[in-house]
Amino acid sequence: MIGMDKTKYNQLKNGIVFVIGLMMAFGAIRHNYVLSMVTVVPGIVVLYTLRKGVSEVVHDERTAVIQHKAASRTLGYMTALMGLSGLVLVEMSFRGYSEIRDVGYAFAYMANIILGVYALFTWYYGKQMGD
Amino acid sequence: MENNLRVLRAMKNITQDQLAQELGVTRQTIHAVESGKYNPSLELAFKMAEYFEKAIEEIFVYKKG
Repeated sequence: MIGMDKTKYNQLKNGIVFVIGLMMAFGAIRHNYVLSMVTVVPGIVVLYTLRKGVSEVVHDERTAVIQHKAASRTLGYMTALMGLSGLVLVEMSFRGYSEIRDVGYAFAYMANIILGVYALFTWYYGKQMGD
Repeated sequence: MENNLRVLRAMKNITQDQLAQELGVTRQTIHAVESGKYNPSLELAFKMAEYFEKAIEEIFVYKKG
């Protein structure tokens, strides 16, 4: 696989990601989370190994910027969505749906934890870059 | 930021792919720089200047606003 071109790599990558997705879905349907884990971890290792074997450049500063922006946007939207969902679920739990209260609190706490970790890393990288 | 990368590349008679390989980036990055969609890092700008044997100001033109 050493010296593989980018097209071949992309085809293999898409195939592997599809299989991982399929196995995760299967694992979730069957409530077999071990199956999901044993698929994801080797899948990531295989993808990483394949990428190292590509003769062309597949990751550079522009792709890093794209990934950074996408990750930032995803974090922002998902945290807001999680926090809001948490509040809605907790509110609904006081109006007759008491069984969803724990899920609501879990969402709200998770949103807070993500924001805390984000603040921590912002502080850390700020220190590294001269703050 | 404007740049003369496309002109300089044409003068050297090389493709985007060849330039990308010389600079260690993807062809899409060269295309994005040429079309003004992406401003390269200082490091990549220096690499371009070194490759074309030009000063950075001869490749990139800063426009205010």
